[in-house]
Amino acid sequence: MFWGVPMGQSILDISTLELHFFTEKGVIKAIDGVDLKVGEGEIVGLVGESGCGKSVTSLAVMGLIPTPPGKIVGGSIRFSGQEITHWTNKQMRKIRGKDISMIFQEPMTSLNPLFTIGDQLVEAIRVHKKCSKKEAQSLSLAILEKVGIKRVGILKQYPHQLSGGMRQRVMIAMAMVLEPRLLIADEPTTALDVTIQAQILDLMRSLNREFGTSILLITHDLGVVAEMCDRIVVMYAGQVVEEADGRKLFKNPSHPYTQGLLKSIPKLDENQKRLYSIPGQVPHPLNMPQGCRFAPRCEYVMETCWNKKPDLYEIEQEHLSRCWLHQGKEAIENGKGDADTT
Amino acid sequence: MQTQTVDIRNKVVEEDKPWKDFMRSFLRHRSAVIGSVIILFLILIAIIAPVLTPFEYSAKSNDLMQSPSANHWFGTDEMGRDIFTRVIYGARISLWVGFFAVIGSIVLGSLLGLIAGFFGGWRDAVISRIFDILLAFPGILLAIAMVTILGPGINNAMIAIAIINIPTFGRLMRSSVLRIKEEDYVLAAKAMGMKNGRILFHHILPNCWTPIMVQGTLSFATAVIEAAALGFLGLGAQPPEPEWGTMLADSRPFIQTAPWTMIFPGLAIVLTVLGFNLLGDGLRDIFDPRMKQ
Repeated sequence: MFWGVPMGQSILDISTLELHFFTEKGVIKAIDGVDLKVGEGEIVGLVGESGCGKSVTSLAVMGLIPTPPGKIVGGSIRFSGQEITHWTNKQMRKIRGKDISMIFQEPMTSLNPLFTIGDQLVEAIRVHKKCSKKEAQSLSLAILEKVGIKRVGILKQYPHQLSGGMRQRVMIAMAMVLEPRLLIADEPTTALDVTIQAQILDLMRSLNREFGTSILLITHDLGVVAEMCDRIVVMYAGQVVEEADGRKLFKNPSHPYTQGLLKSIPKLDENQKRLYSIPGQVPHPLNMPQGCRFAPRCEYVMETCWNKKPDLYEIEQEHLSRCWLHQGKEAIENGKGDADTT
Repeated sequence: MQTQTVDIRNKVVEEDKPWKDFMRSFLRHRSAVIGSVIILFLILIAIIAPVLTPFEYSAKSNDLMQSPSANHWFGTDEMGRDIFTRVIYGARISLWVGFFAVIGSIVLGSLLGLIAGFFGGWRDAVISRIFDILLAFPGILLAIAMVTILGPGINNAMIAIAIINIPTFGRLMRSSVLRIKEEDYVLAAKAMGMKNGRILFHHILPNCWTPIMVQGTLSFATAVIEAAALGFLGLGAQPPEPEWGTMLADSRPFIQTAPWTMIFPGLAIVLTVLGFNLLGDGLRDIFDPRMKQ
């Protein structure tokens, strides 16, 4: 049903994934039918507010959801054609770091404070690759140079001796050293200065070109995705609400949530009295609206929206949106609600 | 590659090695230095005991209950044995017992705490209840019970002391592990495909050492007291072993007539415990990041 990447070429293919957390207070449906594809060599942006399920999605791909309480209850995750949802921890371990790597939001705490950069890189290499310490060290130096660190004695330095930007470079080096096919970057620039952000994004893009590594870039910063991504997926409350290529999404945002997100970016050239924000709050995970999950905050909300869950609908080529507004009257009438367009 | 290279070759930051940093704050801490001087002194005399003493520690003589003199510095006991010699040889026993008892409880306690904290679930429940049961008894009472079962003797006393100290280290380790396992670098290690064992021993354990080291030093002091207490009760070292606690017990009838028979072993215990407590307190201050200038 999806456009874009032909079946054979997608490196990551998540379809109708459902992941629930079984807590004492009830079942939290953290991911509720998410479809997501990342093609070979493609950079896909996954955007959404905190708690919308984007990080959980990425951890699910890595097989790092703590079970219990989390559990994948439906759907599938395919990595280069192989179904990995039911893989054992042992099987997953073989591809983690080697075929799929991940970098995290906080470079300050993502490196072990007790070991040198060299030790940690060598360790990362030797988990998957049989080679001598010497070989691993020269490999480390090579990759560090690729990520832009040419510093004498870097291998012997401890994390606390490096700045945040440098540490994030080291993390990227660790993630890229075995030339994985997919890099998941979970808000890689959120904790960094704006000036460093651009450098890190540049670096990721050039690694993408050089190694052909696909990148799933998770962020809440629309500016970042605009710059980087071939395709953008917007998530809200555990669901994908809009999906399009970057230009289309920015030119013609169709889901009211995406519109709200775009409006929330402060603009320098306009003299706004107040900054725009989407009214209301993300619904509590234990208390999701019956129909469209965005209905309580939506300015275009209709009768249907309260009763009937919208599906992802192709409003134009390569542009999907989960909103009743764009679906024909027919579709709405097929649903049980009375369709009154307001 | 179009990546802009950050080249700061010209200003390589000269920073001290971690141990150098540690040594500096250590030497600045007065009680840590005094404590370690006392401990080093005790270790030294324990090692060179035969050189220091002109007598055998079990050699009896006809000079019974002599007060301190040039010949017998600390006097003699009721069997005419030289108390100076016995106190010095006693350092060997106390340090030996303290060391192995503490190492034993660190190894076992840390291992159990590591498993409980990392895996959680039923393992945590079982291990934590065992700790609770051990802690429900007063330590020395439990040690007495164990020595009674195992039979009196210095080695059994050591085992008993090791066992009663297990929960202290186990709980300490468990709480550190619970904190450290949520750290980002542990998640990052998992995301790199490392095995649980490697993450546990290479990433979590080294980051949990500090409190264990401090507690270990302080526990050394308690272990020395506990060994002396068991000796005093006749359950630890057996005569003619020159154990400080045993010497105190033997001197009880002569407190008024020959006080030196109890003063010197008592002082030895005080000095040892003081040394380890000072060092332990010092280490706690040094490792506490809030105390760093």
